[in-house]
Amino acid sequence: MTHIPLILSTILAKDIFHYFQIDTKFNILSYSYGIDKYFTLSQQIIGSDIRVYLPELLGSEEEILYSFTDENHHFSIEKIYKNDHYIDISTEYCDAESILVIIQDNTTDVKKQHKLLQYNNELTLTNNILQSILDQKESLLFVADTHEIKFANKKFIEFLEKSDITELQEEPMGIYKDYNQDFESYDDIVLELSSNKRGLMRLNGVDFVLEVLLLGHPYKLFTLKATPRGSLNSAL
Amino acid sequence: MIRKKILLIGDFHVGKTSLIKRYVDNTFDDKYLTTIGVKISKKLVTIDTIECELLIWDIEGATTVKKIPTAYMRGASGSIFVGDVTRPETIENIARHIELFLQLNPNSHYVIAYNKADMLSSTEAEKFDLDAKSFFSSAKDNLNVNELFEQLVKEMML
Repeated sequence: MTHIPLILSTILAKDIFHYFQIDTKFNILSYSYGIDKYFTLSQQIIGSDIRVYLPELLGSEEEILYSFTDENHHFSIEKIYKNDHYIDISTEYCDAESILVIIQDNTTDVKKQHKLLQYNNELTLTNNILQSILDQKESLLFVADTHEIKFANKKFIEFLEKSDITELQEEPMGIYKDYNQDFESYDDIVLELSSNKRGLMRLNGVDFVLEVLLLGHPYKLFTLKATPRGSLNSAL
Repeated sequence: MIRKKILLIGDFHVGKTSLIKRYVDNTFDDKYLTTIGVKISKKLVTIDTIECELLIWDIEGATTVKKIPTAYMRGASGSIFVGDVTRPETIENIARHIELFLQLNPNSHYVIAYNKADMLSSTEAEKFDLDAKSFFSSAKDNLNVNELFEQLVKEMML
């Protein structure tokens, strides 16, 4: 047990986490060396209110006070931005009159997550833009890979009386059963078309001129333009 | 001095960070840099001779797969719910955000920002049903940014 202070000092020196020790009035009793990289500390830290440095605790005082009486109660907030660092804060019972506010530096991990989140959000926005472009078109449009529709414009979804694209995805080739029961993939549809990738298709009792544009493998853009009866051949 | 915690809540890329930057620093940058976690900004305001320090929480936006952590919402005195008028789904989601916020903070106040209103035509604007709690806003044009915060603070101080 006599080695505990030494072990604690060694762990703290690794810069993995830092702490403030506070009393029930949120005044700082002690703190770990190196904590100043997250906060601009005043000269008189001991005795000052921790909420000056961690305003994130404001509003949560009632919950934090449980940590003084219940050893199993932990208050925590993740991914707080401080001085170009991202920290998690949590409380740990110390004794009946003080708790530790543990500060864990997760900057490296959070910055990696940030890059992924940025990429994901930009991708979602681009997807939304593409969707709105497709929705603006008068024709029925969809993009499919070999077996599944990946994008469809509103007109195509409404024409097939579906609520959204997921309903189309539930019956991959079923929507073409009235036209050709042998279709097993969207590649089969492409193969049936003439060399200029155009053809006729009847869907839900309506005749369409179908055009296919091969995008990067395996994606294909299918465009269906409704054609008045009797003019199918001239439409081609 | 009174200190109040207020939040900006909404889907990602609706302009929460831009509204805060306009209000606190009076700056605007249209480059999109998504927020992760939470960042607090402070602003001192005086309402009817009462000084109040606002702790403004800029919270990571909600996505279809990631909701806003409730730990950020607890103990807030008020919130500005933000939607992007060019993305209808972000406007529809405001009601859900309000419901969750009020579950956690039943006595709190809120206002709604229909943001990026500089991109809205007058015909499109007519489709929005505004009331005393809701505003068209634009961080880019500095439209109603101060008014949003002032309205919220007034309600909180009542």
